[in-house]
Amino acid sequence: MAKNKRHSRYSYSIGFMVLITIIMVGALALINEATEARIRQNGEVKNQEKVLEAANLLPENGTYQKIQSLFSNSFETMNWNETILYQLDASIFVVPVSGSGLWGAVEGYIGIDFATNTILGLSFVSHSETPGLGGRIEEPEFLDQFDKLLLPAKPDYLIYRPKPGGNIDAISGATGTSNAVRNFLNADLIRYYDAYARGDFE
Amino acid sequence: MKQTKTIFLEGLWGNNPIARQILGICSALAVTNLMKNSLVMGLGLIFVTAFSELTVSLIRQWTPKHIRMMVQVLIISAYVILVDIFLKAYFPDISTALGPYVGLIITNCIIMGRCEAFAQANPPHIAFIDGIAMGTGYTLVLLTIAFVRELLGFGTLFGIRILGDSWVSWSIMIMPPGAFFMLGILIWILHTVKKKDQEVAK
Repeated sequence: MAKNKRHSRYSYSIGFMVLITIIMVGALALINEATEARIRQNGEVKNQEKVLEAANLLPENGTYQKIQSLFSNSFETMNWNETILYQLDASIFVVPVSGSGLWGAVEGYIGIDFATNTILGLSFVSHSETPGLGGRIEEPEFLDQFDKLLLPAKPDYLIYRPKPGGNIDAISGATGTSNAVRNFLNADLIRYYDAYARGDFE
Repeated sequence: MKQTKTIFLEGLWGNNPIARQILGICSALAVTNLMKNSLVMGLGLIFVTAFSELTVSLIRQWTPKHIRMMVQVLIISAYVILVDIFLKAYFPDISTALGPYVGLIITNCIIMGRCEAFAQANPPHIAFIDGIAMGTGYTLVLLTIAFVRELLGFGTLFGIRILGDSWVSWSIMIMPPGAFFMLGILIWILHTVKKKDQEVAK
């Protein structure tokens, strides 16, 4: 009975909670510290994978080591106005693209060969579109349309079929996302083409 | 030893968390479109339930009764974060595939229910075994549902193609309604079998 009385005191309850919290949070902090480097590296490799995908160089079933070595052998990084660009060749770049989708920010990479006016590929790093509808922008059916896609000589670069001059298909049932993606891709393409024409990437 | 057997029989059959207690339904519906995801989810749950029950049982004599729920939630969340960090560091692909569901293990009623109903009243080693048994019962139901859903929805098992190319995938099986149908049918079958058992016993 005496024990129970002690347990029902506020000071005991608060002290108990504080102690348990310190132990649990301390343990988690230690584990977090121990795995942080590894998690960051996983994130970097994921990013490299997306860059390789945009350059259409991603091997099937590539291991981490393979992706890392392929990445460092293929690309030179370049800083342009605080934006990191990945240079594959004199005229071939993988550049980040981003804009607002239907629900939230969409980020990705696109590979452009400025000399031949060709897109090498497209990849999305993150988006928050509806799974099964707008979310299908990350599926091969949509992304593969951009592989080796020859662009028209001047904007608009990307036009959905069946409009005249159309070169890609939108996702049926996800017009909002499709239009948003096309709009920011076109805007980014114009931006990068201008910069390339000005000689910013030399 | 006999007690261990009884606890396992309860977890797997007599008192199966999903089929009998109808707990943990949300995650059972969400992750069962692929065998691999279900297995990882199940292993995560076994780990979290077993260790949460062990910890709750270890400190049960010192825990003030009126704040025991807070203490339980704290312990469970610490273990869930542990699983999340572990997956992020060592299995990043599975971590992406499971997305928010790993974090949502914490809201899984099975863990809270077992901590409150069982671990509070039983010694640590028995509580630990109960956690493993309940987690295994949950995992088996998940795997059963995932087996049917993945086989019919994708024609694969653990990502390996089983049914030939002529198989037309039932896309309803991959979508949420497929999970509802499967779970309903499974619970129906299990209840009918159990009823027969009881009639025979009488």
